[in-house]
Amino acid sequence: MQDIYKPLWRTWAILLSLTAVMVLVDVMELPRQLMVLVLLGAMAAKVFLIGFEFMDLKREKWIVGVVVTFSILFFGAFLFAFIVPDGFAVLAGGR
Amino acid sequence: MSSHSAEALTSDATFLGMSWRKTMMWVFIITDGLLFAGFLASYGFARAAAPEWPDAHEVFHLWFISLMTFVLISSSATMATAVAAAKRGDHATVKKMILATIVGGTVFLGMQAVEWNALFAQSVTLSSNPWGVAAFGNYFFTITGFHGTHVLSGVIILAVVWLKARSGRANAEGVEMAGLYWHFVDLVWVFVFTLFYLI
Amino acid sequence: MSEEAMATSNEAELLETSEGHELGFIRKYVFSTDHKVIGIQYWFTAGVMGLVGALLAGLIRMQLTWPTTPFPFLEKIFPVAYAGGFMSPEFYTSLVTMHGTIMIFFFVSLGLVAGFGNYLIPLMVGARDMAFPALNMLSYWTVVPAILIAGASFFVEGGAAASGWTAYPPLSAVPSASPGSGTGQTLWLISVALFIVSFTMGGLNYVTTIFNLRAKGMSLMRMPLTIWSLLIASIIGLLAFPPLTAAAILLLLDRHFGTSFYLPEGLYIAGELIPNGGGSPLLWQHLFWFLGHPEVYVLILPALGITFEVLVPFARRPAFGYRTTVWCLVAIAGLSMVVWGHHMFTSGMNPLVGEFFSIGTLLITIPSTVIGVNMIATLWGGKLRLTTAAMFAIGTICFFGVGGFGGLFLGNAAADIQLHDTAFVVGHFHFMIGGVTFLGLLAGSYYWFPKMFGRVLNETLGKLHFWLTVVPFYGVFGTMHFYGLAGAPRRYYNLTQYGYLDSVNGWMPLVTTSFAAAMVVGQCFFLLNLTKTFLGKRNADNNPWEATTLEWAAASPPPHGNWGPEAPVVHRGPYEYGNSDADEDYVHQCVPPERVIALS
Repeated sequence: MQDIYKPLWRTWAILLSLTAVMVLVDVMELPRQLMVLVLLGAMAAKVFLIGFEFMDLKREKWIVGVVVTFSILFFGAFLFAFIVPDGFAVLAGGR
Repeated sequence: MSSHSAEALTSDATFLGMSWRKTMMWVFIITDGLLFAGFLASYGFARAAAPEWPDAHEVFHLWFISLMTFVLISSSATMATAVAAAKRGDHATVKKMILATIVGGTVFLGMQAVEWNALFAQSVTLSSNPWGVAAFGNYFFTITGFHGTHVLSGVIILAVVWLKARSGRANAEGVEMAGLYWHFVDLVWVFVFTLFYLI
Repeated sequence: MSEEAMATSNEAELLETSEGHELGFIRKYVFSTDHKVIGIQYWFTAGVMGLVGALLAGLIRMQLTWPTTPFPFLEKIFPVAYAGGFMSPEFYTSLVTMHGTIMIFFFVSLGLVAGFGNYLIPLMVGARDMAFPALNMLSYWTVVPAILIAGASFFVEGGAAASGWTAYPPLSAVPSASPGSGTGQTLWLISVALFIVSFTMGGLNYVTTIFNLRAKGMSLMRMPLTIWSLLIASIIGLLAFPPLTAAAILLLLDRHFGTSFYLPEGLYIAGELIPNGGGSPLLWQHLFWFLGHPEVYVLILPALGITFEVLVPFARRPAFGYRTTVWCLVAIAGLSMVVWGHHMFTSGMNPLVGEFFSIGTLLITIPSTVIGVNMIATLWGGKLRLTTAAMFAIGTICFFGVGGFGGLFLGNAAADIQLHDTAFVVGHFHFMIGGVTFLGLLAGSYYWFPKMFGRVLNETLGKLHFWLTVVPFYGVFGTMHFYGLAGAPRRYYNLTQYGYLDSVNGWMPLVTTSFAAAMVVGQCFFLLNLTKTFLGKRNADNNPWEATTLEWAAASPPPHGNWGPEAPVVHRGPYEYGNSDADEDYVHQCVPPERVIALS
């Protein structure tokens, strides 16, 4: 494998190890909240790696990264933040 | 043809510092990403609203899903290699790596079919399941199905790029755009894998 | 092929066709890839759909004003819907639904965003066409079937969709819920889905064109405000539509594949318990309004941009606070994405969440007010030329103010719970999404008509049109505010049975309908004006309003490829008026600095 491809395959190895950690955490009988926290952290790390290493965001102008992150992750998170609590309210019998 | 007229179309004023086609690809990825954000937020809503939810360990074979994830991540790595190779004009590697990516995507789709079949055998379907939690099947098949169609269209796009590369008509930018789409599909899987199979 | 070479060959083709290689009629006017032809196609389509939407509104008005009077002549036209001369309640709900859908998606969106967007973006940024001309054509030809399907839904069994333009489940999710919930609702969903596809193609094109195809020297902060508003509108549209697409897919699955995304347990439809369960209609409300609210701004922002564009040359002053306006547009867009919950105050939302959405909504008033003040300040001390276009632009400011005041009541959770789903809301949003956009559309039409068709519209007929649009508009929708305050609910087909409305039922609907009739007369003057002008000879030179933006440097109407062999180069901001150094009071964006000095 030539030198320029090496970082890509390093990223691949990290992604696989993160996946392994996630599966491991899931199989172990951790407290649920801790498990969810670790899983979400690993997920975020994977998303970051794919975006910046594979999708080449690190080589684009910084504004591209900001625009993409802001539009998908911010508004996505916002959707979650305001829809999911209403789900809990439905469960509690509020509606 | 005069040179000054070409300037008007490829002006220096590119805000994002990338070509128009790549700009469009990124904007498309953002909109497609928000489509999945809509699905996943709805899924979060349903999870929050459901009094009980089937235990993922009992429904899915985690090792099998991990294998699927391995295949998809590896195909993403081969795709990234293809893009890097295309940028430096290493055509042999481009062809080899795109083919490897296509194989990875196809294997992933086959495994998904196997997984769905196993669920159907347990009479888990889109509208009903043995646990009486309709939302589980609703969201599982809708979201993985939608991701699957994205993988399928990615494979088709890559096949076109591969055919072009074989006859020497592929350019670096075309490979890069196909790559962006492929990585995006992988990115969505990261969310689906975490939110459906693990949490 | 490298990008440079690609662009050049594209360029070559454009130049070639502009230099005599005539295209056939079909390629030139029907399946055209020229952004100007597509823009005009959208503009005409929007006009026709506006008339259709107005016709539906007319039927609604007649029903609300004379609910107990039979109309035998309507029975002859609609034998089922008007059986016995009286409108059926199902037909009324279909009318309300389709009036909203047509006006929002197929009139205002098509006219303002698609029509002016396509026509103006390449001309105003100095490009020869859109970044993806073929995609652009495809976008128009995706909207046409969408319109035909929406129209066809009136003639299927059960009639058109009847669950409101918001398509709330379970009415929209269970095919047996009401006559319109059957085939009509399915067609509605398909039609809206096609519209979203078309909008996405258009939006991709707009954003790419504005970012990458600007002429030399056209920096972002030299772009006219119309282009800024269209850019921001397409960005929020692109961000807000996908979650609705997701929601619509879930709704289709609910309707046809037995899922229960939006259907709670224990729901009785037509006396029968439906087997679904586990979902909640609340989810649809969230996803729908995540689009629904930004969509309002997708439509209003271009109207505001056009208002600035039209005000400036007739005030002979630079746009007041150009940079502030740009940032306020951005702020409005950002805020508009995160306040959708103010449409759901009565859904039983957690009061804390409601408070958040209230505050966000009231925050929008700040940039909105700044924009309104900037518009008025643009007029301040100007040498006003009160053409029809300028008057419509001033009318837009007025409607923006009135609509905004209504919004203050509705954005506040405490007041909204009282006013929700009353005629007050109908009056409010007609001032904003109906009035501001409609007047913006008309201001733009009068202003750019010379560029689009090489003819200037008649001013006398135009002024008649103006007065007979704006004054009746206040009469129609101002009255509706008070009808709503009196407690009249919206979407009810007969309000005579509610005793508490007796004191107002006798006259308020009649006043509204009379003003609406006057407005119809006003629009006839516009149609007359259009006919007269099209029949007349070409009388517009390249820059009839002595304006400064790029499109006025092209011929009227511009040829294929817009600029001839020499593409424009931009040397200054978009609004340089009142310059005492030059021999005229304005300096066009294309004039190089040497020439300005030489002239003085």
